[in-house]
Amino acid sequence: MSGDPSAVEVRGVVKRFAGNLALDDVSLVIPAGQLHAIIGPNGAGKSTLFGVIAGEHRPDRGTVWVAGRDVTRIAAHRRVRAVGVARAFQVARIFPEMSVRQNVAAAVIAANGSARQFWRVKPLRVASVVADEALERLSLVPVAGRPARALSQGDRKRLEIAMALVLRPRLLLLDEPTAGMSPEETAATVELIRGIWSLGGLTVMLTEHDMQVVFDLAQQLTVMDRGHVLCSGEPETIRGRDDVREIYLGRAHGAA
Amino acid sequence: MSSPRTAGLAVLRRPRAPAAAGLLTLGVLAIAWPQLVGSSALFFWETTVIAVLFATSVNLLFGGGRIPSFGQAAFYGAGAYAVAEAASRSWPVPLALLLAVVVAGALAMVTSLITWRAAGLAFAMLTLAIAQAIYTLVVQVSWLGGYNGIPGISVPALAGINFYNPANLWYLDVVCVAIGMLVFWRVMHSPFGHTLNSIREDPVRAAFLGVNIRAYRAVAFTIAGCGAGLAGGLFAYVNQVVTPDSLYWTQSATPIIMLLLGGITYYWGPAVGAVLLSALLNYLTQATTNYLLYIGLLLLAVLIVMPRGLLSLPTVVSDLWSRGRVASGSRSSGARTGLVPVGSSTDTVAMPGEQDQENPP
Repeated sequence: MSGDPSAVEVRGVVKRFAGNLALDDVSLVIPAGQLHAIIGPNGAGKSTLFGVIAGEHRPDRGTVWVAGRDVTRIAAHRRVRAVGVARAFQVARIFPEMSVRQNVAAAVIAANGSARQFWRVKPLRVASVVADEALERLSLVPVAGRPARALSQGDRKRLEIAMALVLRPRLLLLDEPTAGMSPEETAATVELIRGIWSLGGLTVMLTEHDMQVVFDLAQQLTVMDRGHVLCSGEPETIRGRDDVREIYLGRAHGAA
Repeated sequence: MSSPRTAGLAVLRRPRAPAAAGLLTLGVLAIAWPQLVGSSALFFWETTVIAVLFATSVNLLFGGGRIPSFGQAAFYGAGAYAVAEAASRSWPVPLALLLAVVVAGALAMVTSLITWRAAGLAFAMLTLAIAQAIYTLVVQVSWLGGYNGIPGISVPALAGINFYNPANLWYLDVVCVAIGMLVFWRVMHSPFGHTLNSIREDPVRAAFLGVNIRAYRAVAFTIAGCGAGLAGGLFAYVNQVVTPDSLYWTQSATPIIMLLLGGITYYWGPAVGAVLLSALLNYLTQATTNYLLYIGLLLLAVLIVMPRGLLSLPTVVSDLWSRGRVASGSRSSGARTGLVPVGSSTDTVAMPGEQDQENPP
């Protein structure tokens, strides 16, 4: 595995929003095939980091490498196919007026390049068959024909994961995959992510506030605070660190 | 819960028998129309089906991709002037109409490149400004006839068919509009159309699926420009005079009113709106000078009762029906509960095994 390039390498990234330092000289290396969690309190810069890796934000300074390629100046939509980045958002982004099946079909035709065809209708039928297979994997078949806006928050998140998966990503970014879910939905989503990841060939990065989820899933953790990387390491090591406990427990007491 | 059918929402199904029957009826009506309405009313109906095509082309933008162009008159007018010039050189009809489509499409492509980075209101204002600039330019160009435009456009005979016969001109008009409508149906129901719809629903999500949203918007804009050009070209033949009015901003606004009336989420919405508005204008302009007031009131009433346009009437009625049933005790529909945003549980932060850490091993 040591010969493979890292899945993600962030080198000295600085990102400001209207003067506020969202990311302050962040560096991070994530080996290919890892299931890696980014944790930290609100405003730590986790979502901004995801945005920088996915191409939503261009860093003010520093570079971003995905699968051994410098993608810093590559537009978000090109990164999807160039290096295989797929992304799910904190609040699931779906196509609300389309049916669940059509949501996934839109991802299928975007991925296989048939989206450009403006005369032939057939690629769309093929895409709906592929979409059904993805919906089957995520047990969304019963709602396949319903408009996506009618889904529960948990189902929306799973729909978004289904859309990400048909892109056949090598790097999957999940921003709070269990936010807004019931305990049952959370448990199912943890199993789902583990299942997807264990098929191999996929690096998964996720942010998460539910520490049970993080410790259940992640091989490695990175702790962020106020735009900095505090530390990276295995869950057991991180759990024992005083500065990490300070951030969580100290703040929690302060807020209470 | 009944869902409104958006343009392209039925894409994954094969055409069914009722659709075929409906198209057959339209075809039979089109053939019999000159006999049914008489030749004096034919001019009105010729311009109406042109409006149907124009409004449908505009709806590829508004309904298909939520691309708010307020400058489609530029491409309509470009098509009309192209045919006027071609007719004065006695070009055959198919070639003249092809010229109209190409000129309008090229102009639309250039416009889409100029407006490449703009979206939303900025895009709307830019398209309006570009179209008005073209209007101002054309009224000052002497070889295009200035304010007077180009009169005396005649339709050269095609394969022995003489278009001085009003019925024949109607058939030419209807066949060309039908071809245009077919093209737009295919585009809206193609993978491209589906992708355009996805950009309408959430451009950020579409971009993170790998879609180059600016390029798709530009291509849609060019295709819509071609459709507007064909409509404008046909209008030149039917009207026999082309004036700068065909480039004026009101010409951009009329199809927008039509598609709002009919419903932008339906393929046939703009067509229904076009027929209704044309008929109303035809009647009201003879009856009163305050016709714009009545059109405005009608639009207001339709949009308040049926925000998705006249074609959403069945949905509105069935929603009222089901709401009545909910009020009488049954469970509320999934769609309504689904609309309630579920707060994310991001405020509560706790490390697992906190108790363990108080007694480290």
